[in-house]
Amino acid sequence: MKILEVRDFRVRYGAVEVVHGIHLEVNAGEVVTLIGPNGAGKTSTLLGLVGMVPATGEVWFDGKFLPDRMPEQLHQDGIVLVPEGRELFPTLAVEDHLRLGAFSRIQRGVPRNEVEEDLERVYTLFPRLRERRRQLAGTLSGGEQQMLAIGRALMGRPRLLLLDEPSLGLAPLVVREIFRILGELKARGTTMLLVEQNARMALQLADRAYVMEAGDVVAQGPPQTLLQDPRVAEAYLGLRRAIMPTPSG
Amino acid sequence: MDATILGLLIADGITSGVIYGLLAITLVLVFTVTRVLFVPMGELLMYAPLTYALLVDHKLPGSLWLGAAFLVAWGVLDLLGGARRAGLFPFAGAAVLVGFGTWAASTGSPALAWLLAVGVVVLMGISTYRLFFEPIPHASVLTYLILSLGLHFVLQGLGLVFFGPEQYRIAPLLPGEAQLGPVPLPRQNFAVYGLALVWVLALYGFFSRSLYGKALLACAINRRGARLTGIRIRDAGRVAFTLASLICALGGMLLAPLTNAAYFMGFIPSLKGFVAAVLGGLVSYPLAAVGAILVGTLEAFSAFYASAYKEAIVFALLLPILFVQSLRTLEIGGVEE
Amino acid sequence: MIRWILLGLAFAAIPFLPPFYLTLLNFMAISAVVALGLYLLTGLAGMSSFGQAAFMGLAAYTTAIATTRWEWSPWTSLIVALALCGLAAVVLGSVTVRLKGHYLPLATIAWQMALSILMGNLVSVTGGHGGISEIPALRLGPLSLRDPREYGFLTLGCAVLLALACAQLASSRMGRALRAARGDGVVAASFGVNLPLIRLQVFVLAALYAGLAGWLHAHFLRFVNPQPFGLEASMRYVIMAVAGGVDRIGGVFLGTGLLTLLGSWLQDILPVLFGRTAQYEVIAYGLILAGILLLAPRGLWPFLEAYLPRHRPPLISGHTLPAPPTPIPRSEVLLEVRNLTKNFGGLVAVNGISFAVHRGEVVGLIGPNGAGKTTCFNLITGLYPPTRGEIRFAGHLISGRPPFFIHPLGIARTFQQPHLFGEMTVLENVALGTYSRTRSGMLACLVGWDKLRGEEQAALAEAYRALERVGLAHLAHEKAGKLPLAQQRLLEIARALASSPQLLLLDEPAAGLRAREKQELAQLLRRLAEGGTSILIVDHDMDLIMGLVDRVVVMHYGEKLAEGAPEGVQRNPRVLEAYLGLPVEVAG
Repeated sequence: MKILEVRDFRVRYGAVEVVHGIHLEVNAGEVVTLIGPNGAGKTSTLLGLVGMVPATGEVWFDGKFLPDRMPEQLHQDGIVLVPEGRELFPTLAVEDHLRLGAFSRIQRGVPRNEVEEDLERVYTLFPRLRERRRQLAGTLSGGEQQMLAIGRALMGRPRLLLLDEPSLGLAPLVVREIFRILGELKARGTTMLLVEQNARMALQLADRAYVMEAGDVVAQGPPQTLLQDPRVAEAYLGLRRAIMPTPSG
Repeated sequence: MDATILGLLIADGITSGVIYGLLAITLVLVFTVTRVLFVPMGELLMYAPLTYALLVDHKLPGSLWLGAAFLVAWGVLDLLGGARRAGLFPFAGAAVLVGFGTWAASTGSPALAWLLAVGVVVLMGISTYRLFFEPIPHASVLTYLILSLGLHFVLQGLGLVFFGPEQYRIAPLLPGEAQLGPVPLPRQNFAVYGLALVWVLALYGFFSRSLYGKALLACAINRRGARLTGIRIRDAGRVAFTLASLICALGGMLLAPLTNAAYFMGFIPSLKGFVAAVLGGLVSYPLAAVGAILVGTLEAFSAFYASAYKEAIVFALLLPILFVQSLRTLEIGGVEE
Repeated sequence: MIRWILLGLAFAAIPFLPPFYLTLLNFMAISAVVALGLYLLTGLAGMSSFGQAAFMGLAAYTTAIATTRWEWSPWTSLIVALALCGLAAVVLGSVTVRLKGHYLPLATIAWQMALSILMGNLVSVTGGHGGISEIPALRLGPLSLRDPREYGFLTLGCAVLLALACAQLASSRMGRALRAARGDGVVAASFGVNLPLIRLQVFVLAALYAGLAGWLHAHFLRFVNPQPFGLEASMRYVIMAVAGGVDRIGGVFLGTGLLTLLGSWLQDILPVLFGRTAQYEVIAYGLILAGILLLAPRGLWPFLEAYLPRHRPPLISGHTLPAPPTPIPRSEVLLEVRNLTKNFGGLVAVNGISFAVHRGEVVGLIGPNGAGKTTCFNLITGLYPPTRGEIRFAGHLISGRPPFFIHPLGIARTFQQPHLFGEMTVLENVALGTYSRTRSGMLACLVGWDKLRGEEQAALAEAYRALERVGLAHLAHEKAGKLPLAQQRLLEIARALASSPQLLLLDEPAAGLRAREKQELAQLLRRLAEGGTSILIVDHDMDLIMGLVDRVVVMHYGEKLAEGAPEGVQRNPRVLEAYLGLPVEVAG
């Protein structure tokens, strides 16, 4: 069952179009990843999806057409973004963050015990956060901050979880830990659209992948196929020489 | 300078400091959540006691009509924006205001007048946000400041129209004087201290214990993060303005018996609140409170030595405060937000 | 042309106007002088002041006291009044120019209130609310400037002269620098502009304008009291400037004229309408201000501008600027980065990196997102100081110095997102690059000395030459905001070239460009390198980088991962692992 369908999606910043009319699909329970080099437009795609930056094109969520999108509204509808840079509240405690993640649901009248259950579930998933529940977010390590950002998003009971470069700035061991947890989430059936620069970890986790370069999707398919596809390596490191003139030309 | 005079000056300083502190932390609250420097606070401070004074005198004050007009405009804007049922509440509110007001004016009952005075200021405050600031959520701090100043002039000018130039005497809640050592203190002062204490505790409790308060803080700390967490900035803004107007209304009602009330008397205290808030860089509550005590004390002592210039001195105090701030700033740039 | 005709008409009409309109004309001209100061402060430099009336008051009271108590000549007291205004502005401005934008208006409000209180309460000096009267009239030799008709020539003359000065300033290097200093000013600083200094200068200038207006006011009415110099008056001047359109001289005059007429009309009509005397104009002004801000934020002038004939662009010809002195090379190493480290709070963005750029080289700085490349750039150009380590340029230590010190040494940069000034023409944008090669100060530009000296023309010629080098000369007089992305990037490069740099720092110049545009960019950069400019380029387009550079430095987690010729780096398994997260078999 298709949870998300995106057609002819374009994102512009002023005069610059950075995403040139791409198509994406995510089915319920799937983990889809968007990989590609820097500047490919992956983050812009996610930001455009939640309405943080202006975007054109068609976005269908669970069969419903979403024309004017605002992040607050989408949060309510069940699309939650864990942004690049995490966007935490450094002077608020860990538990505050998690409860705030459920704020919009509480405002809509969701019963307290449901929220407490969700909190318990998040703490089970992230034992380190339970240990530090009263600590201020600004004092956490990079990996813990990323866990907190994911935990906060999960408290919103998202039907589609968007993650923007969760491995950014984290040491390899911590990245492994984060992806292990994402694996657990996948096992529980959480639908995810994951943007990553670290192709290996993303491809190991995902059911399907899109490769973006310079605003276009240049390859897509199941991870195993893509791992062998030379276009992926080219997209990242420019092994294609045909386009460039030789220096004296 | 003997003990009595010193005591009097300190008491004066603290009382003023408490008032400026209330204004200062309210300014910080509104600024951190909405980025609006809310200059019309001074007018709202006066509108409550002036409305009260007219109502107990069996007159229907123009401020009620203004409040009703703001509510009607709110309703119109909502309807134009596409809302259906929600659009009726502001209209109903306007009708209630005028109806209730007429009744209160005819009976002249102090209790009703109190209620209405506070109510109209709160409604006016939150309507101001809804009508003038909410529609332009991405404007710069400077635009908001200029708008604020414009509103200050409008409200002050209308204040003269509604209430005339006279000063009104309001009966104190706590009459008489108490003797604190050598210093005589009007009992009403304690009502003001009490309000300040309650308010600070309430805000503290609100921010540290309620999720709603934390959501407000989140908006102030990181707007982007708050939006992505599903918190509506618009709602946070409305709450901030409601709180600010409430304190202006209550503060104004409790203060008026001490100093009398006139349409123009709110502006200068609110500016002093700004001076105090600047000490905290417009973001820190404790520093704003400290700044307020500083301002109050400086003013009391200046009043003793050079009474005509005490306010000029207070405003001049802003300069060294800004100087200290500028030393702490090393970054390039700084004109726009 | 039309302007001159209107002006001539205005002057010629003076003798024929009835007294009421003559008075109004004088008030309009005096207000225009204040509003012109706001044009400079707000329209050009983007700063706000709600204290201009206080400066007026300071000057007005100075001349009133000096001429009535001490019997000075009004012309002497003018000098003293202006000096006092300048001093006050220096004190007020120097504490606020480094702070965020909303502090200056707050400070000016405080200053305004303080002065209003003093004016009203220092009775022995200022006469309190009763004010000072019997101020002597002006005499210019045998000419007496007493009645509104004669005075009108003076005030209108002042307004016109000052407007001309504003126009001169706006079209000079200082005008460009002031416009660039709006917003975050990063670009301005990167091209050698000393931001706090010029902001202070323009604030003082605006204060002097207001001071002159105050002096004119005092000798016109021959009476001063606190009322015209209060916060309301300051607000009125802000509204005059903003309602007309504060970023155009014509707008300022439009706003002043409209509001003076409106004010006079309101004073007559409203009390009749409401049957009560009250400060109705104040309410109206507040509403107008709110209305303009919400509905027509650029003022009313743009509506008129459509009907005016287009301004003809200047002819570009003649000499270009003299070449800047080349620092004597102490070595072949142009840029040397040694053990550079930068911490942001707990985050280590750059960790002990070292590399060098030699004269004539093209070096690429690459690495995955978050590797610290942009931070490196910002450290080199001086946007913030390093935590540890040093940076040397042509042997000079530059780490920790501000951008306006580093740039004139010979480093110029472009930005990830083009930082152009859309309202200025392409040529004017590029001319900003010549800022560090020209010298005329604020005063010189006001009187047009930079043009008399030929410096401005040479700067424009230099800018034109830079445009020719990148192939954009045919668009010199287009508004920069209209350019598509590829040309905006070329424009940024031209601006950097106009400063005649030895080292060009390019920050993702190819981002967002299509294949063909990238090709043309690469060709341009090759030409520049062959012409002797060294280049340090950050980009993610590997096709571009690998085909262009002589050497590559690869960053990862803030450290140098690898360095060498492109082919070697591309095959380096550690590099592949860093980027892709997996070891890849590379054929060939």
